[in-house]
Amino acid sequence: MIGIAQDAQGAQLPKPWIEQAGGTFRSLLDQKNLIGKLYNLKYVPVGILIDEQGHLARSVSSVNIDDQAFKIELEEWVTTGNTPASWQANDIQEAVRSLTPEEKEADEHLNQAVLFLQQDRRQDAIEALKKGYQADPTNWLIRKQLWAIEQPTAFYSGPVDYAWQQQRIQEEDEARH
Amino acid sequence: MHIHQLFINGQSQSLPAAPVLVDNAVWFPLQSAAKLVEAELQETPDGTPMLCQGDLCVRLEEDDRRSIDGHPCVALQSLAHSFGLEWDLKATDLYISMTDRKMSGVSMGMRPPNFTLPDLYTGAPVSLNDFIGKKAIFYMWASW
Repeated sequence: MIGIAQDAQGAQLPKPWIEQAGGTFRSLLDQKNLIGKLYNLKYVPVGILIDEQGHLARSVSSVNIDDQAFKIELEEWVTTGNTPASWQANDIQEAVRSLTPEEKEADEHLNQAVLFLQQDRRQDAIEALKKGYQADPTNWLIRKQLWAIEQPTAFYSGPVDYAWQQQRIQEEDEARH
Repeated sequence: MHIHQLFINGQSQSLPAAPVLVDNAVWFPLQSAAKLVEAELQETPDGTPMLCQGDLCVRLEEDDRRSIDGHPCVALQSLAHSFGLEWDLKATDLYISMTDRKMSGVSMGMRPPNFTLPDLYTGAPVSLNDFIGKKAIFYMWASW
């Protein structure tokens, strides 16, 4: 098991979560959404399951590690090597493709935001992420990181404030339409 | 072994550089391969070349590429699945047919795109390919 933390702000934010969970697995940092660009992903959480030959054992898609049925399937695959029937049934022919011009623009803004964050230019990073969100509103990896930097108390002070997130989604969606 | 005669959909063709048979694989000059499948040579964000036909892109992994007689070549097999290529080798003649059975992308049983990211604690580079030989679960998550 290898965790990949998606975080434009760097390693300092995911570290406490890993330590609090007592995670002993290898952890990687993806600040600039490399995985998302390679696999056409714009959300988390996602699982990439690889067999001994380096081939995909399951479509690259969302996983819910709290889902009991998925845990059973995962254990079956890890211990026996047998591919669960539901993974076969839900296999996706995922096209590997180039970024669209809008996705490229959003990616450039995200990269700019990472640079600003490294220079402690938080407000500039927020503006860059806003431009990224405007370029590609379907990219939740940009949209939610914008929120987390703008409003850290909704994410990092106690439980995540999902009511605040719903309110924010509604406001942004209304503004766009 | 060099291919002497090339037939595409039954028509004799000549190329600036001839395809070559090496290690039981047909290696096709990259530029000619792009033309053959009507694709454009592009790069993935991590710098891996890929052939794209509209939204359909096929990554050319290291094993799929080789320089032969100074020409960059691609293993025809790596394009067959996605671009619907079939071929038959008779002595030194290569017969290629284009079919419409195009399949694309990352699905079960295929090699996923490799990536390299820093370890969260040490910064040491870690690649997906480092884990070939054992089962691996990469879990992409966020604190936000």
